[in-house]
Amino acid sequence: MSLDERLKDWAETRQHTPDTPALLARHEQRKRPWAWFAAPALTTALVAALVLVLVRTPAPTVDPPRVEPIAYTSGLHMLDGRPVELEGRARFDGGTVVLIEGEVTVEGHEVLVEGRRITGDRFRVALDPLRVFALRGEVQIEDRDQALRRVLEGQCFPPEPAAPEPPPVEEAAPPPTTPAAPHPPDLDTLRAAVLKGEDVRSDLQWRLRLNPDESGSWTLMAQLEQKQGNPDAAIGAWLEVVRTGAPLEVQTARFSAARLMEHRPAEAEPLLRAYLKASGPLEAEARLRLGKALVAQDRTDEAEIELTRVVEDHAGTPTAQLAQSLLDQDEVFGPR
Amino acid sequence: MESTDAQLVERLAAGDLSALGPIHRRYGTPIASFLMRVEPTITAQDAEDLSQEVFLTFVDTVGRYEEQGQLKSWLFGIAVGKARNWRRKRVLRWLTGKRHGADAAGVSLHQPATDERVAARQRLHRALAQLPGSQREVVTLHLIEGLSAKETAEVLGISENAVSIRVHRARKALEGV
Repeated sequence: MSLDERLKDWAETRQHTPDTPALLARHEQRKRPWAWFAAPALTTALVAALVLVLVRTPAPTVDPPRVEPIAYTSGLHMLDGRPVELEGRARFDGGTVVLIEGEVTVEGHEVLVEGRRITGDRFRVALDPLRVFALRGEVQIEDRDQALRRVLEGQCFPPEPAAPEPPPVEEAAPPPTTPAAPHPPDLDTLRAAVLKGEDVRSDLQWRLRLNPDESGSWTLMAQLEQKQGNPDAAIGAWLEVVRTGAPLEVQTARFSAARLMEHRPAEAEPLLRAYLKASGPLEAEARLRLGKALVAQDRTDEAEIELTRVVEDHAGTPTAQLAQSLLDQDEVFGPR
Repeated sequence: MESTDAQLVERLAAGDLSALGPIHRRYGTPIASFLMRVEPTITAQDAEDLSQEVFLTFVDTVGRYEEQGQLKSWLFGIAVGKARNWRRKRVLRWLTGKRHGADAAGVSLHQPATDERVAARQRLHRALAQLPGSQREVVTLHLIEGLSAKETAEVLGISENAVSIRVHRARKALEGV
């Protein structure tokens, strides 16, 4: 038998048909976490009512089951049918996201943090220190004293120092490649052009003027800038993909931006940590880069932990060998 | 007429959770089997739990599902992540002395073979278990599950070239078994 046939033969011994009703029950239970204690509470209430009828004496009041706020940890959650991207910890309490630590990106939810009530279309809130980024539409921040602040789309509260600029979209209003055409070329056409090394910046800018949140265009823009040797512009575009993309795109963008940030380790670090937290296919490479970024910031103790993990988790791979060679540098980690 | 994947996903994204059952019936077996193949120490019980987690994660992230690829590939992508987490936790369990799963597979592997075919399967099973996880993922997706090199690359977030290299290395390691 050939290897392929032997693999298929072996695979036949490794089959399992999971139980659909069990999945649906688990999903149902997850939707109604109170169901666990609702039934006992109902029984208690019935028994109490029966005792009341029989002995005609006042029975102790049975409090209705209290619906506890649900605690969430890092990950993407659907709350009230809308996504909540959490990196840290939060509670979902009566339709409000209460951020406990880390940062959260929400769409249309109300976020409660440090006594402030924050509402808006799509925005990100980070703690320690508090920062609010308006990703889409206007965001309103109501302070404890009911003072109202407004943060416009693309802006941050409190205002932050200049971040890497994404490649210009509005300026220079470049002529589209086909001025008479009513629409810009589609993404597939542009992707093929970028692969061939053609300069389709003006067409991408055209698409982004029509839809600044189109992550596919930002991805192509990043690839184009990278190909043309403009790392800062490429980083800016990748960060736009982080802002607008779907989870897999965001992961790719985080890694790609971090890869271009060899000389900006402090900025690369949060991107790599976010990538590792969300679990991506390039885990070993991301952790190796995180180790390097930490070494560059003189945080060798933390770097040693990350690099050792690469060596242990990915033994025998070139990435693990690279991590080991870094760990073996006496001038960085001291003699072993 | 049976609903297409796109119709089911659209219903699920719109909050119609009754679409989850048909999706699971369609892809539950491939995903659970994939989990048992990509991590040979995963038992049927583990595969049951992990495959449920794959579909629950899909429900949580369905709003971000893109129809550019196949639903099956998208689910395999989630399953790869679950398998990797499982592998990491298994190492921790092993380090803390709480062995699990591996023993179940280990026992059957050390039983005397009744015929040459069973013995060959056991040798292959051991060899697969010793491959690096990254090569096992490629072997399982590409050679066993039948995904194309392009689809495998998309699921794993690597280039097609990397898929070819890993397949080549894995073949080399397995050919002599």
